[in-house]
Amino acid sequence: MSPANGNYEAVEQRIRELARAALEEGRVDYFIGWTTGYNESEVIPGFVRSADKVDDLVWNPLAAYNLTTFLKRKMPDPPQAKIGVAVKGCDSRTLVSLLQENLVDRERLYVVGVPCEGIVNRRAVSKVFANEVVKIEVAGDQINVTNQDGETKQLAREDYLLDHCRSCNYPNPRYFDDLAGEAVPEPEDQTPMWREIEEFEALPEKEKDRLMAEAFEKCIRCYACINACPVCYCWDNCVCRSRQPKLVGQKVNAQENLMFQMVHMFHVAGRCPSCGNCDRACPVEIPLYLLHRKMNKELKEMLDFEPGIDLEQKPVFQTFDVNDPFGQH
Amino acid sequence: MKFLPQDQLEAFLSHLAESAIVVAPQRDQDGVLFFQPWEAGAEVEFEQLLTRQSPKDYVFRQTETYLKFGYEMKGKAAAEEEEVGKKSKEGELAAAEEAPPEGEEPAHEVLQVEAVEDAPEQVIFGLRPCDARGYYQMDQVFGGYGGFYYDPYYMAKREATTLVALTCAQPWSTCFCTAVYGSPSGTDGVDLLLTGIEGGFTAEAVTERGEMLLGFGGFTEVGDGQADAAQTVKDEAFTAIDPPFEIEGVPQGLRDNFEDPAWHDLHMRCISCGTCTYVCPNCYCFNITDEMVEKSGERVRTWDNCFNPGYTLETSGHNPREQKFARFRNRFSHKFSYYPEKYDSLLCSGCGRCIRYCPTKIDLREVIRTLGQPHPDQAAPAEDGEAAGVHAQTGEDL
Repeated sequence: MSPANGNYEAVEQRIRELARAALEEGRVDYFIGWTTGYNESEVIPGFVRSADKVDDLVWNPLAAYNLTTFLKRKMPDPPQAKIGVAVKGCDSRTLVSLLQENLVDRERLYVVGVPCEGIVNRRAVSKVFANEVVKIEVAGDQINVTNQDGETKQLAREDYLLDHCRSCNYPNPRYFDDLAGEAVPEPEDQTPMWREIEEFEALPEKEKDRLMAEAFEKCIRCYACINACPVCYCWDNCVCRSRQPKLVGQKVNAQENLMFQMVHMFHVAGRCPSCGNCDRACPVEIPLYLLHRKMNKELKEMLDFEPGIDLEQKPVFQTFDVNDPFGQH
Repeated sequence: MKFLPQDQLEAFLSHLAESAIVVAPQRDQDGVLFFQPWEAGAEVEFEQLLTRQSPKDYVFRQTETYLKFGYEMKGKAAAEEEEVGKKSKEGELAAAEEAPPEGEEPAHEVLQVEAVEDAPEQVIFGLRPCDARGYYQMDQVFGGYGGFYYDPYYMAKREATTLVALTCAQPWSTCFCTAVYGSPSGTDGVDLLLTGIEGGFTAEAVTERGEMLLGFGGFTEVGDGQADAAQTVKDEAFTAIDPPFEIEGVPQGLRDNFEDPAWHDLHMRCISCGTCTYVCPNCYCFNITDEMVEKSGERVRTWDNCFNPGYTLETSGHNPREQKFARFRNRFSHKFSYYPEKYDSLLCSGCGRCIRYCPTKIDLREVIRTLGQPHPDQAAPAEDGEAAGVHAQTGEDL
């Protein structure tokens, strides 16, 4: 990941301009970007229905949320709305996955691509103080964190990026109508990095079991992970929530919770580029994105496939190729 | 009022642990603060204001097993039972027609049911007044308030539970207990209230149960100025919270604004998960299912929430709240309008967890500010045709 050029304001202005034009010209009913949350340490999804509200939109390295979640079925209100949406590199990959499977209507979308240089791990940053963090500001290579007493700590941006941003090969959107700013340099070496997955794979089986049980013991089955997931689209008909038939048990314990997560992991395989929206939605901080990273590693190694790279690419589980690496075994 | 020196805290916890399970805020492997059973030597954390979830699970369990059930073969000898099991249907019928030998019952299955007792003596230690107030509200729902249902499962645990609350010295920006009739040193539901001052905690018994806890030998009489110091902590915390809305009129306002188009704006970033309800100290909705393998299993009560698609799904297949905005509207209306109508209090204690841990940080305060006040144009029946048209819900997907 290249060092930050810190040109967030210019990109922010461009997003606002593009959103304003789309709203004024009636090309969209509403525009989904990012806005400031309950305090200046939170950047959240922002919905703008009129041009005079576009200045609510912001862009900075706290804009973690993958907004393509709001395009999936049952989300748009009204259902036939024309929607403008801002996407980062990883977000655009989930959008491409949805488009490949005709799960969103391209004709009703206006996509603003946002080149991204990495998103800050807000969860890790907020833990540098025991009391409340009220402001997080990224300036160049530095993060300034302020707590409710007004004390400020300075952190190196590099140390507090989200894990998947460190290994990101696609910082520029793969699909968009307009790009808000200059494309950022992409890494020259595109070899996927699976360090954290390989470390886990190397553990003894019993240790893996222990870690998995420990992680899923605390799952509260709120289903934030699957509802925040842009490519998990069964919505009200998820087998894990169904009581008739009862396919996944309703008891909340490590075993049932893991079963539920496995269903999610397998069902989104091939569409999920591990954008991490599930992970960040989890209220109890289960490192869910590792499951999806693992699946992506398998897809790459067995089928030489990376989700959401190219609109013309066929979904991996709808094709068969005898030349797959897996076919060579 | 008594005083507990800081160095007596662990001894006090150990004293309590002699006769009860002690549950206190502790960090897990990922550094997340939860209420967990305490064991001697474990580090209790009071510095961070709120745990991730309220401790409601210790009384209103996320998975409450009512009973275990199964079938047992009775009658003929065990070897023959197995034979019966293997026989074809015709064989079984033929066997049934044969008269059993004198004095012996034919093979038959008998339902076995085993009740599950789960109400240990417990002390929930270091919860905040808003958490305690959550129990206070749930007590009305499960405790037979106004002649409504009395729930023996909840109440058995509740009656075996002592609440030792801790005054909030430094509220967070998402705290709003003072807007919903609460206080950072509130005592609703609390047995013993601790307030952190220099060198330890002042301790005030609120109930007889709390009074008994003061029998622990580590307490001293309050010294000069300690009571005043505690009062200062309480006053400062109270004034640190700027009430985000006027609660008067909110129940009526929500009723007036039931059809307000603003619901369609506010719900937009809701992803219809259940996080807000599962971190909430007040939310009490549940489902009951039989979790079975073949013919044996358990009848369990698990938490449910109003964002769950099955929550209002009717047997006919009709779902009156199929749309997300309707589920969203229900959560706030239940807390601030329907519940007050039935129980004469609010189903929100202002902890703000639903704001902070919501995946998209939906702000309850904003919802109440926007829709909780009677609208001038809502006095008349909704006739805003244009707004209704924009939001006509056809149920079609994008």
